[in-house]
Amino acid sequence: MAKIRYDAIVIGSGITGGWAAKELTERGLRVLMLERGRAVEHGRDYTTEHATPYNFKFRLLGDKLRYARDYGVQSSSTFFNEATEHFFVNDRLNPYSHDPQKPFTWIRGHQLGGRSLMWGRQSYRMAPLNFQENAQDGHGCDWPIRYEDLAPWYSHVEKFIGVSGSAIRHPMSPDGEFQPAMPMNIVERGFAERAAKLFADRPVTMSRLANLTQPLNGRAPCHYCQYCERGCSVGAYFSTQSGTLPAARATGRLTVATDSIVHSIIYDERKNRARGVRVIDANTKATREYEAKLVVLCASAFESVRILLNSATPRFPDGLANSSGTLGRYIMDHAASNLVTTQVDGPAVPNYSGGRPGPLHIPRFRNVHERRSDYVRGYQYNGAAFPLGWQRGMQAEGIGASFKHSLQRPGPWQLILVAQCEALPRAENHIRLDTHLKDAWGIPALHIDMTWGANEAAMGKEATATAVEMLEACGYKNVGVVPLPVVPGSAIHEMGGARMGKDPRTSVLNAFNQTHDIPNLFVTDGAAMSSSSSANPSLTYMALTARACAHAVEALKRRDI
Amino acid sequence: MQRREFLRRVSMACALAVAYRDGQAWAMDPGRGPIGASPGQSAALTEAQMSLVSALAEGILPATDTPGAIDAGVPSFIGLLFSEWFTPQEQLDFQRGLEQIDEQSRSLQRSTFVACPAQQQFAMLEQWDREAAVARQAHAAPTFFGRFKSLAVLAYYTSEVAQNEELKLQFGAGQDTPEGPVVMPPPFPI
Repeated sequence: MAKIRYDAIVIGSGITGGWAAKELTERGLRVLMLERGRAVEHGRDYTTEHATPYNFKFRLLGDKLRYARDYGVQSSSTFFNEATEHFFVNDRLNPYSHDPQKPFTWIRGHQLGGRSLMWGRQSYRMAPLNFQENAQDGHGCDWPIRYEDLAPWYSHVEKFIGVSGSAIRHPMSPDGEFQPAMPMNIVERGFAERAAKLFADRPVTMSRLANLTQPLNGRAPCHYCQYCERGCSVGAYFSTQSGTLPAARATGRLTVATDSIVHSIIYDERKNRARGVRVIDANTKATREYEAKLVVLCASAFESVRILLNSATPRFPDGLANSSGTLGRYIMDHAASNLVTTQVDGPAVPNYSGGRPGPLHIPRFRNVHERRSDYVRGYQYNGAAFPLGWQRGMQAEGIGASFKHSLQRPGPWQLILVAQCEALPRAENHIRLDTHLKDAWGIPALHIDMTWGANEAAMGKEATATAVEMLEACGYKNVGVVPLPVVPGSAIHEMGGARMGKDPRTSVLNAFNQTHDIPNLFVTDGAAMSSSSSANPSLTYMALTARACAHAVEALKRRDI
Repeated sequence: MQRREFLRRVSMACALAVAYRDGQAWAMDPGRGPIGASPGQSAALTEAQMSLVSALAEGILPATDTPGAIDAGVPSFIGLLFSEWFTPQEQLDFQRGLEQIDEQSRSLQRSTFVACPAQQQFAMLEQWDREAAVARQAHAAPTFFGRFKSLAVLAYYTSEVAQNEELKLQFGAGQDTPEGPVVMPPPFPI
């Protein structure tokens, strides 16, 4: 069969794959988007969207016995349940390995739209300092870009995806293009007001969310049903399906191939170019090849690295575009503090079926104007205040009519804080191909080797203590700490492995996410991250992708790649 | 590790999903090995066992001016979990737990639990509930009754009857009220 040659192949259809497809097609390229999972049509395939617990056979508990067999890792995610299981990978078919003493939780979604369908939606810019700290403290390699390079692309992305949030003029949480923020509830307002009088450097503000509060491009504002991760047929939160995919399709230049697992990149050694990709059909296991002038990896941080590692050639025996030897190294996730919680006075409210889809946000305030001796970098807090629901009855004392009556209305309010901690890029944290384990399609599985370091431990400890101090200073009593044993990967912010850098000898990608080694090969997902900052990373991935694609198209026009 | 305590606290404090999946006590016995499918799952509770399940559940969540556990279908949902959700070991434990209920009932009241008058049933439920609370406070293994009660609470409040007639759930989060939107846990991945 004659091979169809595209201008560009985008590998992956998640939050960056969608952006790559949109930017490249809108700039005139004919694009093939490859997705290893099934097709998911916006609206029609959100089959559980507003279903109530009693609509599910096991009332959202899910099929425990099947989960034990097929979803041993995925079912540990707070997003995974009987209403969302179809958006998560089958762990039995998609194995990975790790040392028993070094657990790693790898949460994945193999379908059109990837994890953009069930992501957390918090959208923060990295701050100018985040791009400088690698050079300042020597951890990781210097980012080849600075905040000013990415700022216009952050704006570009924010305007399109729709981010609700507040401008706060904080050095560690740069303002962007915001729709009005979602409101705080009365207890959260009280906390924010008390904190503002005591802690000028750490405003208690609403999370910046890729959930709309105003209509945008035919998408409706959020209706607070709370079930974002089941898919939203009115497009109130940004996903590939609600935003980038329709935009790319509207150009008439996009071809989407689902059930297409990329085995490896085809490399033309004579021209030193990526010529295309080898694909395995997910259903028939038949193989086929596609060719293009440009290949953009957006398969998710670890999957993109896995494809490069599995594309070794005589010239690149340790993985394609890996002349630096850093491919697979310096992987990161976000660590966490313990959960700090207190019971607070709050109003009597009815039982609601929904909820606000995002928490409070307190930007990073440590190691900004001062230098701590116990750790470098910093953390940001999430928080929330909410009344306890009927679930409290599962552990509370009481039986009979009075017990039932006590659960009829929401219980006491709870206020919680938890820190998201920056993790340092360290060479020993790495992924590599497992020499024995293969997935259901015969492709070598990943071996993940990652642990938290002393810096993350010290930061988490201090963040816990500071959260307690803040709540107590605000006048709250009986502040408690709940241990939060966070396994690496649990934040679902795994990143790094093909870091950006100025020096081809110590990094995989240049300032435009282009591999140093192969001019027409780009990696624009989380693999590119040179440091993690403490910010939820998806907005940065999208901005990097849009910027890289604009550069790639210009370079193609100039015949530079 | 303090995983049990962590899950208990989180289920109380902030994680609806975790409460659904893990916070319910039944599957949280840390003494068990990995669970897996095996023959025997199609086993069903006997009629007598279902009667006891009904009596226990209705005693915990009785019909008042709103429907009780039986009206809400709690026994049949627990029966479904027994047949299709419990591991074989959990099935054995559950059946043994029901036997112990009747053994204790005979010892205390010289009658099976179902055959006891409502007042005697209530007294026994109160006693077992206190024992379950003591075990929780001591971070000891949950008692059978403690686990059963967790299941009954979950089965009741996730039922159509309880969601609509007992909790009277209102759509949305109260975002347009002076109190502002409630945040249904988990508000963010942790």
